[in-house]
Amino acid sequence: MGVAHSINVNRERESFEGLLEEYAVPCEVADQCSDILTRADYQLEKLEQKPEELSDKPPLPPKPTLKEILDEMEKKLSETEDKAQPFIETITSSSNLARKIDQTLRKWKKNRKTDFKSTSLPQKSPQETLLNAGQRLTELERRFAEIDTTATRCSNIVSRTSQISKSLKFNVKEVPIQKVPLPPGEKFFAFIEARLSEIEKALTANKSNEDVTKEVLTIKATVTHLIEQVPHAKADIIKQTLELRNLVEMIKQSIRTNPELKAVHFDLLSLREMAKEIEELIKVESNMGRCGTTVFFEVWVPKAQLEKVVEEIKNIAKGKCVIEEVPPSSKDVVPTVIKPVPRFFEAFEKLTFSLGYPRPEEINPVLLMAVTFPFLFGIMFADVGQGAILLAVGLIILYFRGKVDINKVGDIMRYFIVSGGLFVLCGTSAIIFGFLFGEFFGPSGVLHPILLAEIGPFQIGGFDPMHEPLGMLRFAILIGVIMLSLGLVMRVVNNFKKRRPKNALISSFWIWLLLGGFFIWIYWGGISNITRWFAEGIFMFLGLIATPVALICIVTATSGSIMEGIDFSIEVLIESLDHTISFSRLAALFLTHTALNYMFLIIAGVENGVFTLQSIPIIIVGSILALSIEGLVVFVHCLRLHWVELLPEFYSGKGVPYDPLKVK
Amino acid sequence: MDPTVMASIGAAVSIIGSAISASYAILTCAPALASVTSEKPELGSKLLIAIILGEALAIYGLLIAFMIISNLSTITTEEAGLRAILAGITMGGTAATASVGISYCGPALMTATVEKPESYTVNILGLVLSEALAIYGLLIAFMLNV
Repeated sequence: MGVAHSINVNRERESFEGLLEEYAVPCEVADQCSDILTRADYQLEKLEQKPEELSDKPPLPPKPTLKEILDEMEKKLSETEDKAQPFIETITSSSNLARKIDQTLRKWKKNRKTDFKSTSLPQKSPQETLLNAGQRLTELERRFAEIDTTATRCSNIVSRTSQISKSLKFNVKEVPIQKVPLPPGEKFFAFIEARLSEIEKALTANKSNEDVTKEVLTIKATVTHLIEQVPHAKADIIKQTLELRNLVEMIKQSIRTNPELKAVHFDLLSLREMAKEIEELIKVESNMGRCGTTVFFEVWVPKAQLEKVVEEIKNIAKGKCVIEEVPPSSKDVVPTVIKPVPRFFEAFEKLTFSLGYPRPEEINPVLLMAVTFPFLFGIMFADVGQGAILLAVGLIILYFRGKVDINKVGDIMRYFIVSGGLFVLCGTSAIIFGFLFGEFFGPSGVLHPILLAEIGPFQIGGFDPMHEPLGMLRFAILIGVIMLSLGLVMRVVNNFKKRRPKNALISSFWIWLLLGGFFIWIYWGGISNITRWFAEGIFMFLGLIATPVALICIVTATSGSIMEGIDFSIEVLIESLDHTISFSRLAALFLTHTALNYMFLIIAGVENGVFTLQSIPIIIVGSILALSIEGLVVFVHCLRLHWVELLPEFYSGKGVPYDPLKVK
Repeated sequence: MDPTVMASIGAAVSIIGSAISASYAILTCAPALASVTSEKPELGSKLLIAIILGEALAIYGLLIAFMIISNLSTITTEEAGLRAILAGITMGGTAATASVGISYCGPALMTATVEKPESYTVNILGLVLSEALAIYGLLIAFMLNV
């Protein structure tokens, strides 16, 4: 961790005069900058182009002050706007026309096809073509409406003729058809309707004759023929409209691929980038105090880079500056320089820093977490088969890690990609503990538990936890005590680093208490025999529990008040007990995991480690369930053990990361 | 009563109690998470812990119910049957208490985290301590039944 110094720089040009202003950058400059940004965005929107980021940043115009740079940019923007104007007009009118055609088609209950054939464009200018297309559309709409009215009138006439023919009661015979073009004129309908009315009148007067029959039939046949033509004619019009739509799309396409427009697009994008960069500069400058000729600022600088930074500032100011080095006082919150960890461990970094950032004088626990996290995960998820799946997934992720741009994938995918190393370590750990407890896709009998070591009543491996849950519980408590001692050792180290020997003393007494209590617990066979602790083991109790508690009380009291010491000691006593018991969840979740897998083994009918062919689909379903839901639960409990029990023993998480200013 | 019937009742109590508890915890936490993520989506992964802990309750119940059912052939005496019932009641009951804790602390944790993300580490204590209740119940139920 770098110890940061603060430097005061007074940059002087001619003399000190005027008062320090709160807003160093004049509002006009900031306004001008955001104005340019808005205008560029507006133009891009009008041109129907996406405001994407450029991969290589364009250089700023070589002018001394921000104001001049912005003036230069504004000039260029106006030029670009002039160039973009004709394109904008064409694009707007073609978009309007396309929208209109789409509306018309929707009115005719016809969806436009999404695929477009590439046809050759007419040799006229786009504006003229669009104008023609607009006229064509109006014409087509008119014809469609005409056909519609014709169809209604025709069906009207047909129903009237049927009425007449019913009352005439004659036999239907073949009649000649008069070919009439569609749509027929107003005269045609007027004539037919007049004639029909006459016939109807004659009928009511009961003066039927053969001539009328023939005439009625002819009229009916002709009109029916007309009606039959209607769908065909409509389809023809729709086809023409679709062609028109295609043409419009082609025009748009040709504009989009126009090299001139591409140049304009690129100019706009680079102007946008420049404006953004200047905005960043303005933000930085507005944090500095200044008067007419002087700039004043304070910064945190890592100790190692101090000389280099001072040298650079002197260069820029051409020696006309005053720099004062101030080491941080005890009241300052010194930012922590966080060393980047290898990419393999980045998931652990994220998990640790979710709790908070380390203080400068604290040990950064990321690498410790990379050891303990998979260790605890492996105990709860002990399984050779499923561990191997996790390991394989992790290796696949690591293989693709370098090939995928992490900023261009979704949220969930990003988590997966980042946690490649986590998967590999957790999978490996699960495989190891799977061997110790004989788990292969659950307690299938393929593997036999391997006894690694036996310490007093504790067995590490070598038993089947399904049938000996108490052995597993003891094992979990043992792990808990080891983990908590590790945390307390780290606390002692941190206290020495912070130069607080008294606190280090308290932490060592704490370790004494924890291990002493643990020893008594083993010796007298559990907390249920607590009466014997006081009766037979009174000296042991005094030596291993009462003494450290009393010492903690005394040492705390010497730095504060006596009551505070007692309070603190009670807290320590309870916390030691509580946190140790909390580790029994290792056993509980291990049992949950095994039982879940055992259930699927029974359903699948696996006995004595023989996986039949029919059992495999059920085992796959079970494994998917175990890996997803159960894996998530185990992961959360693992995280909880770190965030609540382990890390707070030595890690405050109240640091502020050092985020240096980066301006090109 | 027939020991097998008693054991079956125990299994049923365990899974029904845990499932209701899990459902109650999720149905209070999930809407809170939804409203939080609509404001600050980046907190989603951090706060998902409340829902996962709620869901874990159902898994514990499933475990105990399953253990009882797989031991049915050995439950022949009245005493063994009674132990099975007690195991089921222990699991179901502790899951219910844990669920009440989670469903109060989860939404409170979420709303507090939106305002002050640094308060997360303190406020999560309530959530994980309520969840620990179910773990204790799980251990005891397991021992009763073996």
